[in-house]
Amino acid sequence: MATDPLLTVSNLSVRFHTDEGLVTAVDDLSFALQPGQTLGIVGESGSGKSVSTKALMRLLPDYAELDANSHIVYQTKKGAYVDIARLDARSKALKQVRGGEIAMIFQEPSAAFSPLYTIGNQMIEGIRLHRDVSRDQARKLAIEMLDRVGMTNPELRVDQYAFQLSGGMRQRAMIASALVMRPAVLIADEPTTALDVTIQAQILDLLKELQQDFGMAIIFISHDLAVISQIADDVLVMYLGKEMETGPVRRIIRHPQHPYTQGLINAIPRLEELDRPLLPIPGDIPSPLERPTGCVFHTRCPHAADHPRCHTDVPIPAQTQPDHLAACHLLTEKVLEETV
Amino acid sequence: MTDMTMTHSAQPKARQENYYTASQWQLFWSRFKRNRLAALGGAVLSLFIFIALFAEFLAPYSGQADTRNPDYTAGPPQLIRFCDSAGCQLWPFVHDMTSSYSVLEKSYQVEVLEENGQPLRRPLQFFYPAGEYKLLGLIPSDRHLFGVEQGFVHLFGTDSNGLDLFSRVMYATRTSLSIAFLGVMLSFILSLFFGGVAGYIGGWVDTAIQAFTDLVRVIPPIPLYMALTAMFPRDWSNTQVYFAMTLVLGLVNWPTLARRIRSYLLASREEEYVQAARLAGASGWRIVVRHLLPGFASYIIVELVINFPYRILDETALSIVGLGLRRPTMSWGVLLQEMTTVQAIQLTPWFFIPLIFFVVAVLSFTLLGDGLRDAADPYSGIRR
Amino acid sequence: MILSTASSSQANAAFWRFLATRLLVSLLTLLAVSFMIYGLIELMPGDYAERELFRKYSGTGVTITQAEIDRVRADLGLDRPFLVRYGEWLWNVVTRLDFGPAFRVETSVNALIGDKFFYTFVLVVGAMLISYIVAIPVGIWVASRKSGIGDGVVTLLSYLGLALPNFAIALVLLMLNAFVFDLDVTGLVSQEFRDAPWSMAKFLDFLGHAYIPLLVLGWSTTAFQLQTMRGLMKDEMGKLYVTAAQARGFSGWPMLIKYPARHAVMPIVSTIGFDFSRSFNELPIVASILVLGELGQELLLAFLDADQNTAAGILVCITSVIIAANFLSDLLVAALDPRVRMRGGR
Repeated sequence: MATDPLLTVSNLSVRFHTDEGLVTAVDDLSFALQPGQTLGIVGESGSGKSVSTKALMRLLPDYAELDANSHIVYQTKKGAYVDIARLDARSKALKQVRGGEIAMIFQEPSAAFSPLYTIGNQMIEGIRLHRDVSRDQARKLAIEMLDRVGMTNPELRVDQYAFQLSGGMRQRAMIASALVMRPAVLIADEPTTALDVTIQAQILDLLKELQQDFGMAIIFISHDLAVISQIADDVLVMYLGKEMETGPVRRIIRHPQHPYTQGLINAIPRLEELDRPLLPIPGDIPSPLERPTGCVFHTRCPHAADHPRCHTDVPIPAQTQPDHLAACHLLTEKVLEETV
Repeated sequence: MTDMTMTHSAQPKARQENYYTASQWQLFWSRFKRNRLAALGGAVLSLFIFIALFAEFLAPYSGQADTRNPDYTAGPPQLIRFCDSAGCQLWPFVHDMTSSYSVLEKSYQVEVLEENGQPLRRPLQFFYPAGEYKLLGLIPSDRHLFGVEQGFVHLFGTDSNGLDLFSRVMYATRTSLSIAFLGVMLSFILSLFFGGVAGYIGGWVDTAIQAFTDLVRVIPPIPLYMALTAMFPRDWSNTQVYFAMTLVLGLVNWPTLARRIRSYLLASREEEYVQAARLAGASGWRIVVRHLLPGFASYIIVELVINFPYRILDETALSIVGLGLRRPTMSWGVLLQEMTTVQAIQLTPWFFIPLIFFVVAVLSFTLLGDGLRDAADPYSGIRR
Repeated sequence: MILSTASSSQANAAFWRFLATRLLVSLLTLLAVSFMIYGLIELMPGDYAERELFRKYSGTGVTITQAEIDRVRADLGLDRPFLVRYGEWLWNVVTRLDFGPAFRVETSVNALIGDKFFYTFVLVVGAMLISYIVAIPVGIWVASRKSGIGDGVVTLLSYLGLALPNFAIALVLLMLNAFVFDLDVTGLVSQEFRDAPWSMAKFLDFLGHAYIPLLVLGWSTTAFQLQTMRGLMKDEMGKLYVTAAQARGFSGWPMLIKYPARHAVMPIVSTIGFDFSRSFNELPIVASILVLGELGQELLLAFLDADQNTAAGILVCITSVIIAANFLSDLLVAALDPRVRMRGGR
């Protein structure tokens, strides 16, 4: 891509200190986000997709540890570059990044709003942390934004509590509370998972629309490749904290290169092939305490039995197309054969 | 929705499979073992239970007037010695001592008896035959862990009547633990009945029982204890007072437990796994035995263990102010009451020894109870 | 879409209804408590007349005749049926706040418990204030730390709070006092003020004495509240709304106070009544060790003497305070939690 990336993540590794020992949640993850791009991150629960995005905002709990080699280089609105991974936890720069540069919306808006304060109160708090406006102005901005995300009666809603709203309205309020701070990146952590299918579609449409208006980049996390395909330009497939495959979403859905991605796609039910049996990926996700050696997917990979390297060597992401990478020994072998 | 759930593979890892299929009890046990403080509490508690069961064996004397040492009143603890001014010996001994109150000095005068100008040694005898008793109420025996042939041995000293404090503490441990145990069991039975009825039948029965438990709960328990214990006639025998105390402890404390049992039952009746079992066609009895009881049993055990130290506390507190057990019954509270009545506490600090037993017992019960609770429900960190 | 458009006045109606019900239940509870105490004493073997005569003639060798007992009984009105006596007492309480004559000291119950009620109230409220003032901020602070010694200390304290209860602390204090300090640790007012009317000097003297029982009484509750507060705070800090607030760039103490602390303090506020009850519970024991003349002592004597008016009067006073505390806690919770305000009740 020609433009400078907005966000460049390199060698991001996150480990958790637990009673049972050190658990690797994210392992050597690298990716870049362009301005205005929508990147989907897909993976099962425990794949590290949530953890890696929380790490981007340094929202991880105390017992999480960021590897010393991790870099999260971000270009601020003013054009300066900061490495978020190196920022002091109490620094002003980090406070500005949180909300002002990168905002986040969550799967459960009912839990993400405190029930003790009105939606307006929590929105105004965010606005005044990042924009130099008076209380009344902030309130006006909040009402405008609530209106913009499609809430009826915004003047009334602003003084209501999250528990007084329906699920879809709550998610709209959540989106409004994030966008009102004018972030350059919006991280959406499974924002539609808890919603009905019809409301899910409304929220996806809303996000697309708002992205066009505000021109922000979106990192959209989901366990559902079908949802990702509706909103994302590019997709990053994660498994056990590692990048499996990354590339344009359409290409990956049509021509998945990694056996894991292939498994994911085979597990999607299709309207046109209702009679086709669903093919789930065999096996269980290994316990985080017993991380597989070599390729982390080898315990469930249908091809691993024939390739001893899968058990011992960690595969490096390789290009199969200029913008399409996959981390699989089978592919590197194939690419090697082709180039020879 | 895309189905991302994975089916079980044909060749699962054995260890991993074990982790997923471990029974409730195994999980409980593995979590409990990891908690060292709770294990320590359990160990100390076993010691206390041992003392309670074998008090007669451990105590050299009866602790009552029949084994009074009239020459050693309010005497300080005697040291087990191997050496004294006359040299050393391999066999442990104590000195023969006297203690009596001197009106002139306004204090107790302690003297070591001498024989031929040397301190009088009384060698300790182990498994010494003395007063007869029935071990555990069954096996007749006259053996005591230790004793002396002539004179007396008072490891914790004596009280103002010359009674052996060590023996008294041993018996008091039995009384205090057993009264708390019976009190807890009684309130458990009552609460199981009322809570069970309220939780299972529901409706107006539930409302009525709730109203009653609310009423009992709003009154602070100590005034209630006062009212109830004030009703004990002064001429009651020790046994009568003992059982009346148990009754009082049980009667006052059931409402809180009953309420918890009720809410537990109400909540678990609606649990998804119980509903699922019901939908799967499991019979009512099977649901209770297979699904409700295991969780409930651990819950109840934890509740009871947590309640235990509070009952020890109640008995001790009541006895200290003279409302609970009274002499010649021995309990921690009764022993401590003697401490408050002696004007000159600075003269006899060893009267505080029962307080140490009390503190250690309550502490270890609490550690054990908290450990059990955490093991049963790792997510409930708050004691309330 | 179910959008609650209920106006706030409608929503508050539910809450006021809830409060009114609570008030009614409270009054019924007071009624039941007084009846229960009257009834319990009625069940005790022997009445006040017997006890008075027994005390009067005990050790004199005089034989008490039945006629004499009957005469004293008639003098005191104890010969009338139980329900009549209870009814009369209740009527006087409800209409004139008059708890009737206190038999033992030949004065009215009101005169007997007046000052003592004040002492008791100050001690209980003071002990609770100490516990809140210490436990809430320290609990928040310890929970907000990254972990380490603070947690251990708080847990240790909470165990000690149970294993070294107030009465044990009182005993230890007595012993320490005997060895180390030489303070006047017992009693609530100095001898010269005991029967004096209230004055500034007497009040200051009272405060000068009260701090030791206050500390003793506050100790267990504080240790316990500290552990509760830390646990609640730790729980709340893991909640999503805290992460969301941090994601907005809100951090530091203002964030801790606005979000997790305010949530965490709610269960503490909602158990104010329970805490009052616990303090009243522990007071008589501590009081008897430190020889404080407060209500618990008086209550005990009343029970031992089968003095129904005094016993029921004192318990009604104590229970009223607990019920009032419950009420206060309901109002505070409603002020803090809009869910309670809007839905009525907890």
